[in-house]
Amino acid sequence: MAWRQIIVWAICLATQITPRASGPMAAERLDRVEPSSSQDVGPVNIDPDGKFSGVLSTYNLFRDARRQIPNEGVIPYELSTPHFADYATLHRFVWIPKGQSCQYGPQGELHYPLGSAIILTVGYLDDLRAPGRGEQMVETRLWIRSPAGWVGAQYVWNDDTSEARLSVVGKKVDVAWVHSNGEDREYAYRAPNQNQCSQCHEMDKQSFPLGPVHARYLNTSIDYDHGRQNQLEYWSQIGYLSGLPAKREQIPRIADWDDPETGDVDSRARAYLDMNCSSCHRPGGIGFTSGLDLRYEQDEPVRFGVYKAPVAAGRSAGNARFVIKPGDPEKSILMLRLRSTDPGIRMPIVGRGLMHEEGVELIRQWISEMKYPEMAAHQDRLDQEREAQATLEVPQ
Amino acid sequence: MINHSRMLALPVLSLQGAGENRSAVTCQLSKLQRTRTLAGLRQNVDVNSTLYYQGIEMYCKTMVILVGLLAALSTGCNRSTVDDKVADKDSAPQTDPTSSADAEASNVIFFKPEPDIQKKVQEELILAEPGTIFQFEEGVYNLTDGLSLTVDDVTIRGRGMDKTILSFKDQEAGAEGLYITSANVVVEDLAIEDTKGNGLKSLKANNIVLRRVRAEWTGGPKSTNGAYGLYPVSSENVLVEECVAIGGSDSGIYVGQSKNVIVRNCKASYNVAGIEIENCHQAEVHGCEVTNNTGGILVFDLPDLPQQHGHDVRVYNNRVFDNNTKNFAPEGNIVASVPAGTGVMVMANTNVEIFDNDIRDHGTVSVLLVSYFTTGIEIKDQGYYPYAETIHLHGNTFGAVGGQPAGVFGQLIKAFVGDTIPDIVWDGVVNKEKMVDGKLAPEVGLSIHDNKKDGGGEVSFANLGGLAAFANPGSVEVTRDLSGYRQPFPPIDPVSIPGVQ
Repeated sequence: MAWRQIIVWAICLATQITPRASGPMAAERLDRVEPSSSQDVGPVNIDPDGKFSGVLSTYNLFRDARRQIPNEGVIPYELSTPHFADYATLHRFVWIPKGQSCQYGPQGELHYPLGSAIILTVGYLDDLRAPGRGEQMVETRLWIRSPAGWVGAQYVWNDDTSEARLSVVGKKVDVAWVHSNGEDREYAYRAPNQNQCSQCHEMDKQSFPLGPVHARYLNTSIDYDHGRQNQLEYWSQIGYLSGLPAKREQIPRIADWDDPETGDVDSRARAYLDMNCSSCHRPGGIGFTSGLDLRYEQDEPVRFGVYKAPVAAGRSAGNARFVIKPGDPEKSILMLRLRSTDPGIRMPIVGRGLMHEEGVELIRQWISEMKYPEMAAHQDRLDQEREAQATLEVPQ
Repeated sequence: MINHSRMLALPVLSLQGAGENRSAVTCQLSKLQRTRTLAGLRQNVDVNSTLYYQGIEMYCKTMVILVGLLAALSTGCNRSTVDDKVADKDSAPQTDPTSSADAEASNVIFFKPEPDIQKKVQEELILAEPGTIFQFEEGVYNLTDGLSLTVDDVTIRGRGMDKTILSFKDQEAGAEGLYITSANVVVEDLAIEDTKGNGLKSLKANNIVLRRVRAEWTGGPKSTNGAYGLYPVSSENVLVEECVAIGGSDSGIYVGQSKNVIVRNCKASYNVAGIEIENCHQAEVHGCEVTNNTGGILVFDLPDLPQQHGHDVRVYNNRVFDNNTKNFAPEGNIVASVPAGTGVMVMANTNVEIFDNDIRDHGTVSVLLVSYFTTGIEIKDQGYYPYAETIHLHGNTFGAVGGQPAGVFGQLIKAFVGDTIPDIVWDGVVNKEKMVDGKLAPEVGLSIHDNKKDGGGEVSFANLGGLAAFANPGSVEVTRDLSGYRQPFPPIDPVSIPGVQ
């Protein structure tokens, strides 16, 4: 190889480093804007190239960040089944540039136009029973649809919620609240670092938000200022969404894990696992080294864990032999992992430090009621044979 | 400050926000020096490509790394960090490192143990540019979260596996100590201790090198220890050398679902499995000392996984002795079925060559060859190949064996063969589709020849009789005759990792 060529290659290599500059690093190079807590903010200011600012206030996303009151055009949304975030309250918003809209895809996937933003703020209510009483904002995550695909950044709020600063290492924040049962709770919430973010939000070097990129989690009604309305219909009405099928029953819908009226235990449990687990436990995901696939659409029982032996679960397997043993949650590794808060055992690995009592209860009920008689009979037969072998005596 | 170093392909950390409290000692090289260095390095790259084994397309990445090394060297940033074979010392004038305090360009970042080191290290790992070398100075680093790396072409280096210790005994988060998901990473000369989960895990991390890394749970073998000490998985080109793994509640060194794997000159002790090669294609384990585990060296293949049908595995020149530690794996683990006192165990792999090993002092069995059926776990995976097939055993020296058969397998073996346990035990389960006239084609069976028994005598063997015997004990005779297995198989080609000698 010619020496000159090596230099050219080397220069290319060095400049190739800039893709990371489209992430949070780049923000450090943008001008910093003084913090502002004014309610009279200018128009939303998102760079369609996906360049991130060092402070969140630059984007004018909120009229009042402390109360998470969004600016004009920034509309709230909810997911029918959200992920569990250590009992934090999640405030979700979407913004789409003027005159453009999300395109509804053939399978219900949503294609956002360049410069769109998805915003999620993590806060802790003072009292889970009284949302109006006050809230401590911890972090806001921002996704921008750039020419290179979705790019994300994380901003950590200061103590008086006057400004949130770009963070790559995350932050541990002490929070306290009154729980839904009236108990006082304390917790050191961990805003994840950039690598931890990518554990759930990246595959094959491409990052992506979870949730509002598919119609099925949005196909539900929420309370707007003007009243209760289906989100997809509202988005269509205000021009944020185009191509919504006229036949509403054709739009996929996923159950609310916590609302029996939206689905049976099976569909709610599968929705819960899809939202909380399947970003890793899917083909190509980082949790697929075990072969476990927890996507909602996976319908082969062994693939989503039924009588599936663990691979590298280590002590997480406890004394259970299967990911899911139908009828026996205590002998199901899935259950043990969801219930644990031990860093070496708990699942999801990132983003959960507390046990989600209600979620665990749903999974417990799901496994308890689960029946796969043929698989069970077969397994019993194998176990009996094995037991017989272990005790057999062969005459010498 | 003008960042012209980019023009010279020197990766630069450019985080201004973290600038004030950077733990890194930054070094700088003048433009002129860098240019000279580049020219001077040219011939070195050709002869030293073994260090970074990427072949021609990695050539310039190698340059970046080497230039970085030189940058550190020429500003006097601790000469000893630079591989003597690589550095062109004569072309690198020394200066006082403290004089470069305002420098902005370096790809060597130094850490020393200090309060809040967790955040500093993680921040630098996240913001690293390809080519960065992280130098952890001597001392114990108390880390409360797992560390992760997602940047390619990075070296993480300590001052020795007994001098630089990353201690995770107060770990609050993270399923491993160090988690790597990028390519061309080298980790060397440090220890990872007492993690809550795995010690070091690398996933889809091609061309990874783990060298002189110790992963240990310091409280001895316990079921509450993390699963794997060193755990590269789903990667191509994996080199683990001169590493030490102690106390893993599953395996000390475990390479899973990978291609082109070399584990050499390592030591593994007080793990359930000392060294395990699982669902790998082209792997070899050699020059290792494997002792005081439950099972010494395991070559396994498991169903329901993205990469299956483990094959072409060479296990040679290892010293495998006294692996009699009580199995302390949690019941649900596949290795929980490995009987204490197992030397080498092969499950459901094709073409495994076990040769020139010294295998001795095991309570259950020296070499155990089984199909997946013996686990008693239903196989639901249609694509899975459960048989142990084409297994060569030659040139091995066998020492004492038996005396204390343990676990279900141990009892099973004892029930079939009686109190005197042979050196090599095969479950005899074969793929009926490969039988010709009621006999297994020789090339898919076993080849056992030229093995030595300590103090003379014949190497002993038992074929337990296959599935029929398991289904109906006593119906099939245990055969001990080796005469049908003496035909040598063609040797397996050595594993070749580009750039690795």
